[in-house]
Amino acid sequence: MLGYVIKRLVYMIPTLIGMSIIAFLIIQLPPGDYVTSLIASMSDNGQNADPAQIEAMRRAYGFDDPIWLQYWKWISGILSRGDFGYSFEWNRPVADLIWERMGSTLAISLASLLFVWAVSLPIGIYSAMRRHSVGDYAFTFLGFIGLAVPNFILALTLMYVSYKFMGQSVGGLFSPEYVEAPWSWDKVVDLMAHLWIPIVVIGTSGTAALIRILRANLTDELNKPYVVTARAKGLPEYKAVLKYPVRIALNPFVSAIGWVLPELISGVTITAIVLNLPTAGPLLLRSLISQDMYLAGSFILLMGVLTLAGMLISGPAAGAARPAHPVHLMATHTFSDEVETGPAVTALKARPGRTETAAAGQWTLVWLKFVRNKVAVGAGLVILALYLIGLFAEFLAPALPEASRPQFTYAPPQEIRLFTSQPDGSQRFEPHVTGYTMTVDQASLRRNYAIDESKVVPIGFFVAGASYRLWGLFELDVHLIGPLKKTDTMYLLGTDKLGRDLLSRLIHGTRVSMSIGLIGVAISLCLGVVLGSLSGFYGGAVDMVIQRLIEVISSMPTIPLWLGLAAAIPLTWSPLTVYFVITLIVSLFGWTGLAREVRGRFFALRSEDFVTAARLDGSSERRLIFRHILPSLTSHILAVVTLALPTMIVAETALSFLGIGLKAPIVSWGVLLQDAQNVRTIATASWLLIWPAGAVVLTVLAYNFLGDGLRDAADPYES
Amino acid sequence: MRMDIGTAAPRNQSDTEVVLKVEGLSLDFRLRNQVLHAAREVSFALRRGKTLCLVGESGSGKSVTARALLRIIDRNGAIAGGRILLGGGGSEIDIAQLPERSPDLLKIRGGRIGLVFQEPMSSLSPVHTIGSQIIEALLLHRRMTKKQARAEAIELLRQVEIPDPDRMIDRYTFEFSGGMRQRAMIAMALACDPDLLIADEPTTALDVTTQAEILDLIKRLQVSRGMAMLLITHDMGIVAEVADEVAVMRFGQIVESGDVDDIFHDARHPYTRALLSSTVRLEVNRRALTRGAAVAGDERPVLSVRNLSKVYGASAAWLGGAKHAIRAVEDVSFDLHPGENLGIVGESGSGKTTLGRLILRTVEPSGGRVEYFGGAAPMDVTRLSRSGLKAFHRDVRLVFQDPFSSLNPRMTVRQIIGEPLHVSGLARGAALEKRVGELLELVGLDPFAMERYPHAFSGGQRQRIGIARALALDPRIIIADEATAALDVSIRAQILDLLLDIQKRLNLSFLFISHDISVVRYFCDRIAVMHRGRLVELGDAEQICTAPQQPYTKSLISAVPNPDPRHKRMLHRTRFGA
Repeated sequence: MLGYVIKRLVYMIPTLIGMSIIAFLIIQLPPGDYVTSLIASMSDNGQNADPAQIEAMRRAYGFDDPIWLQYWKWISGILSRGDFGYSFEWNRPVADLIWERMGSTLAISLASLLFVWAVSLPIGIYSAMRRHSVGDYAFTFLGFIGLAVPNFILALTLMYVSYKFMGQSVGGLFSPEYVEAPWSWDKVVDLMAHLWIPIVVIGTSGTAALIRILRANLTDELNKPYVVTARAKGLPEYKAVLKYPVRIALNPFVSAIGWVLPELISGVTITAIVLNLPTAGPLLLRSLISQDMYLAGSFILLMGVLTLAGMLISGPAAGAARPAHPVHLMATHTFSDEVETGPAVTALKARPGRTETAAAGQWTLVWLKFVRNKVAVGAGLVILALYLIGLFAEFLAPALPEASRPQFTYAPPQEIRLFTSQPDGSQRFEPHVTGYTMTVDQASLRRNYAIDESKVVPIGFFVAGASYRLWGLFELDVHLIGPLKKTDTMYLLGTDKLGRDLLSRLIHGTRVSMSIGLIGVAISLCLGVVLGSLSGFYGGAVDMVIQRLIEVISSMPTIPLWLGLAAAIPLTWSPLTVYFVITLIVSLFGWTGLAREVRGRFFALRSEDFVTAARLDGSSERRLIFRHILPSLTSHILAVVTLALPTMIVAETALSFLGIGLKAPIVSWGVLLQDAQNVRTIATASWLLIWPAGAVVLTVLAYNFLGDGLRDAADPYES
Repeated sequence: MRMDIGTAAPRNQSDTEVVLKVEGLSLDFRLRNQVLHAAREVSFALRRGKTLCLVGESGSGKSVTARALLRIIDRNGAIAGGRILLGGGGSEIDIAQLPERSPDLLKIRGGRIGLVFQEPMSSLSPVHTIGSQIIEALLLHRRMTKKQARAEAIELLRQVEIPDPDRMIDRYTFEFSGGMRQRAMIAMALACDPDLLIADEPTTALDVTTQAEILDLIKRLQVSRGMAMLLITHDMGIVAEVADEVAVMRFGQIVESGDVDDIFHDARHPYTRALLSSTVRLEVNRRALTRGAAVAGDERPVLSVRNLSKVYGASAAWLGGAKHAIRAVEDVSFDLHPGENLGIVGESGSGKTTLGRLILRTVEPSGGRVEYFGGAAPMDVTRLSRSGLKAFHRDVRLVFQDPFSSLNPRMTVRQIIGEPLHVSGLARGAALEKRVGELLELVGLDPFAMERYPHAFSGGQRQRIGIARALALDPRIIIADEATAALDVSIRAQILDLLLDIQKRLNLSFLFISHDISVVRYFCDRIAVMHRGRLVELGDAEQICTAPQQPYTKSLISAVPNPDPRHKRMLHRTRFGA
């Protein structure tokens, strides 16, 4: 046991070194440094910098040294003196700034972890014991939603809810009146009132994931023989379950710290930015944008260390509780050769034309199994529909995404009515939307729109509208739906602050958001499959090196890394280039899960009898990999990839939402959500939050259902 | 006296009290598309001090019937009819009618009926000590303090002959060997002095000698406590040695039941007869009949093994001191002659499977030499290069144990059998297809089967496909590694006959590795007995099986149950102290 811990610690050292190098490199990526950005802001203010002074500053800060020297100085400072460098922006040593923030980051992360455990344990046990009951379905559905809704959207929604319905002040940890006040009971209550949103938001997806894992593991354990023994002894059911299988099913619970912790720290980061909490997140973002390199680098490094520490703790804890491997003494399978006479059965429903599965290959069987899962098929159709929408975006959108009408800013959505009442009292079939009357509020000078029944704007299908180029190639002007008169306006989902039609922007955003996922996943796929196969097939030294690489990359909390890389993109690059670089960033860290899965399966398959048989048949190594092992993997890879796609989409959305991803004139769901960043906007123009957020949630949900269905169908040969 | 299906003629052994009576029990399982009638109108009675054996092959419903007696069947199963009457002490309870959570049912489980399972490793909790599990059973059903329960648990462990029970009581499951785990399970089942003990295949996962010990123990305990016993098994040999009464089950119905002597020597139902004949058939040496012209012993052996060894874990770990070396195979030498069948027999841990892998060099030997004389020139297999090894693997092929995992489920039968042909370049395209068709016919399958995937075939058919693959390159030697262990008794003999048949047509030798002595006796010319990595005895098949010389071999042979209740052998076996 001690040897194991020491071994893990030793392995951690190269990982730590790798992490610090990555952190430092990210900081160095943006062209220029603090001094150049200082000069830029000074010249913005009309000041001129003295060249001699600049030189002196450069030398003092060490910016003239070669990169490796700067790195070395930084690391040796940390290790020998605990000196993390100097923050140029705040004019204080980084160490001062960090500890107060990291403390609260850690506190909130741990509180969320406790929340996750406390909630998922009883629900998981209940779900496993009462499978397919109403309660189980309800929890599973809630769990899916919890997994699907991205952190920041949930944060925004909860903020809105608590502002609108509970009249609470939001943001920060304390209401304004309590910030400086001494500690009192009221202050504690106020803290709790502010704290529940971050903890719920951060903990939700972890809870959902752990419930699913616990439910699956416990279900497996409940079918094992020792549970039957316990019942045969005369133990009542709940006792038999709690005493025996739950203890075993808890193993992954404990080792789950390994991957829940980085997620929590990431979650804290982005949620804190939205909710303006005094933790590491907001400070990190600021330091990245202003290139305050030592502050940013130290934050990233510390977050990585925190994560590694968590993984180190969870490893042996899980290992200690693992039971020893059973040794099978003799074969226990016995198969009957009776193919003609079978057991006595009564058919419940007529078999609908039994397909000849004897000659059915792998993909036919997978398809048959997949099709039985109606929810997954439905989800697949939804995804297909979304891609088609993205493909034909220009045709489907009623207006151009950039067309703005200053007289219609923040206009509410219009309803489609089918009948107009005629002067003679009868109804005529005339699809239309009702227009607006606009009034200006004298006190706040804000426009108010009221639906005016008298204004009728007829609409129709296949109307001629603003002209566009489909896919940049074909010049057309027909739109699927729109106002009959070209000069009228139709805002089915309302408008934004520039008077642009939200529906059209949403449709165009579909194209960008859905396609980023595809490209990102293709890159991850190549990396993950190649590295995972090499690692799993050859084992030994190759495996060890690749494993360390995977560990370094997957231990770093993703959000801070994404922030770092995205902030490094020069502002001068074209939107399209930015688009591709964002996909690259998002996919660079997503391949580790796939690599792990592929490696695990390779290990499992390497020792299968049929692989040994193929080797004895004389197959070369290459043939073994491609002909015998890989085909067993493809359906699993497909399932994993489908589950990885939504991560990419959410990542792009998050980055664009924070303002460091895609920017105008490119339209994506994240760019749309930028408009919904503060509570006041949401309160008056809630459609700006609901529709883009709804699109994201729908997509993620659909991908999750589809991926789940694929994963279930991926191995058609297991019973 | 004997009972046939349906009749419930009373027996005239009214002096032995009936502990449990099952009347017309029917069990239904709801599957996705159909309802499976796992048990149909099953009736039998269990008497104090007597053993009833419930026999059947897989899928007969015997296990599920036993579990239904304690009402621990799966959620999708239900009792569709019948009564389970637990008697004794005047009152009678119908277990089938008790509600699911009733305290009476909990008291019966473990308190009045004990249950012993097949696989003690997975049937005992991996994270609790043996002692705590036994004590838990005691505290559930008997009034005693924890201290008393602990003392009682130690006493129980002593009764089941576990050495040093004071220390072993605090050990975990994985620290016990297979036989000891089963003894611990028996102790747990008997902790509360039940009236009835149900043993569901208690020795299937154990070695032959351990099996004899356990059955011995159960029998003695049953007699001394006056319990009734229901023993479930598929092995007719055990039935003959242990049972007083027998009930034969097939597809959920009892097709024949009665006294053990009647069943074995006057079986009426065709299924019972078929079951008996496939078991009894293996009692003779079929090989002697099919050998034809005697194998000339003067010819040079086709395979020669000298001082072969394999040691695991001999190097010291860098942290934590030296580990104990495991000598899986130690100094084994023998010859295999052309056209000969050599059987390698041993219990688990004897090294027989490792021996097969060493010869093929899928595991590298630690010492010794293997020489092959069947090719153009003699080869020293232990020193062959990669390409030389490929040539060797064309001549010496392997048939695997598990027909499910040895065929790639994603390849058609044609691709599986054709793989060695394709890789060695011997045949491609149409020629390959023709050859695969020939091979399929050789093993008794329809050539059209080559278009199908393995999942369309039964276990025995898949094993035939595996044999066809092994024959694809016209080998000289086939190593069969427990090739029949995963098959039902009735098809075991078929596969063995097939192999003997093929051998007549082709120029083949077999190295037949098995733990099952009767199978080896049926098939082989000579038998080599292995024990703890060493070759203990090597001789003629008949001689080894009827008049062994070495003490270990004697204990092994005598522990094999004899499927003839008139000549019980197992309970008079010799014991080997090692």
